[in-house]
Amino acid sequence: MKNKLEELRVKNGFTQQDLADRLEVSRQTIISLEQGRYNPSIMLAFRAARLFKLSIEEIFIFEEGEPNG
Amino acid sequence: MDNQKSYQSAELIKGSVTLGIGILLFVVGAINFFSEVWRPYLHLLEGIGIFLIAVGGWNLVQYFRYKKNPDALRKVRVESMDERRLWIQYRSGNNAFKVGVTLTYLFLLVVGATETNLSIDLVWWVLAGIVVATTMTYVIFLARYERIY
Repeated sequence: MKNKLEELRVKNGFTQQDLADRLEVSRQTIISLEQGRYNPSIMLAFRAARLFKLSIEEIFIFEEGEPNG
Repeated sequence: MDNQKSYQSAELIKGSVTLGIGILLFVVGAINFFSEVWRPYLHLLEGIGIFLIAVGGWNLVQYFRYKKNPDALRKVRVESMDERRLWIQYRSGNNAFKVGVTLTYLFLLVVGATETNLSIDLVWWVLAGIVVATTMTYVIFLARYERIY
């Protein structure tokens, strides 16, 4: 799943570790999310949306036919 | 903060209970008030008791470490509850479980078909092999999923 996490992180002046701390996940998870290798849980997506004051759809872009996992 | 406190309390409870059970098992094993027949099993109890004392002691050391250093607690809690890590562990565990169950089932079929003509040594080695194969499957999938996700 594509997302704008890296763009938003840089725009807000966060390092990957800052973002990881704020979302209560590891830095490795942030790296995987930014590279689109890992899809977040709904809870994590909500936390990210709240942090950046955006909707989930504005951060995570779902495209039809994407494989699960 | 509440989550951190509950994680810290869990460490204290785990540590105290494990240490308590460990001391109890060790004492029961060491006192040796049962008959001679039970002696080998009492050594086993002592061994399990020592293991639990070590595990419980470690949990308590961690509890006091977290009490002194809340930042270390936060890091450990986040790492242990990191959703990607847990997802990878669950998925690897699922694969390992399938391998373990399949091998055990196949071995049970073989044991059934051979009508107890297998030596205890062979049975021991096959069972040990199943444990190793299951663990290896878990570790291999952990490494694989860490690379993919």
